[in-house]
Amino acid sequence: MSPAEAAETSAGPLPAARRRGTLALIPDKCTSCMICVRECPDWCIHIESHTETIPAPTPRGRARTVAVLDEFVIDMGHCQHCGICVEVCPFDALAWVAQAAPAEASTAALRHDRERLAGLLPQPPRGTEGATAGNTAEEARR
Amino acid sequence: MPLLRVLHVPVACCALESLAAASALAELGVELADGLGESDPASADVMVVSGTVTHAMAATLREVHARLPDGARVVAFGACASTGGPYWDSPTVVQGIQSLFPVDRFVPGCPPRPHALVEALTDLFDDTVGRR
Repeated sequence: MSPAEAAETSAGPLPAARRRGTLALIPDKCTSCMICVRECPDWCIHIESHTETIPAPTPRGRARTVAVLDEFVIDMGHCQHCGICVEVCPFDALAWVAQAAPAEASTAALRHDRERLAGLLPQPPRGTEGATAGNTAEEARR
Repeated sequence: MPLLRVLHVPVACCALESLAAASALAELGVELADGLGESDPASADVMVVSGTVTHAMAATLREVHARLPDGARVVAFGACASTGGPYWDSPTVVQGIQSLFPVDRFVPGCPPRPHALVEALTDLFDDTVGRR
């Protein structure tokens, strides 16, 4: 164990399930409802979306308008890691992952975009830490 | 003789976390010196600013930075030092220390965990402390 790890785990390893490292997004679950954006105390979440019209499935039906997510950015430079966004999301599109966001050479790189947030793997169950390879957003939905 | 001398500038609560990394850093050969105390900035390799920087404090920070030797690096530890953090709309808080002087690493977190400082320093100085 490196000294860094020893410092982190001196009181015993933190259960992975309780670890608040950084935030991950499951874009397929996000409906662009903006609740997280409005509840964030730092206003550090930015969502861009557009609406698409789904034509009526039957002649008597009605066309539906749905929001489609274009971009989802969390500015980790501002984020307090309070978890309010995770708590308020009605669709469980946001989740904690155990690993922390790394230090960056610019504040622009601290803005985690949709691709980066979605690329973070969901937390494995306790005891299987590190066995994250093979996890996909698909598996996270189950 | 330490491998790396860190001038630690504790300006707010994040300093509790960066100081908690002191023993882990000592094992790596990194010495933490108090940047607001008697330590001489001229002997530092890197300055670590931990915490919220107010405009009232900015002049002191600039002064400490000016006394660093040429080539010394700067690490912004925590959301406040990086961007102003939760004080993003405060008129009295500096919106990130890169508006005062160049910064080499921004460590996210409010606060970051202690080992985030260890990781930032081993990444920044991978040819010395990072090699161990």
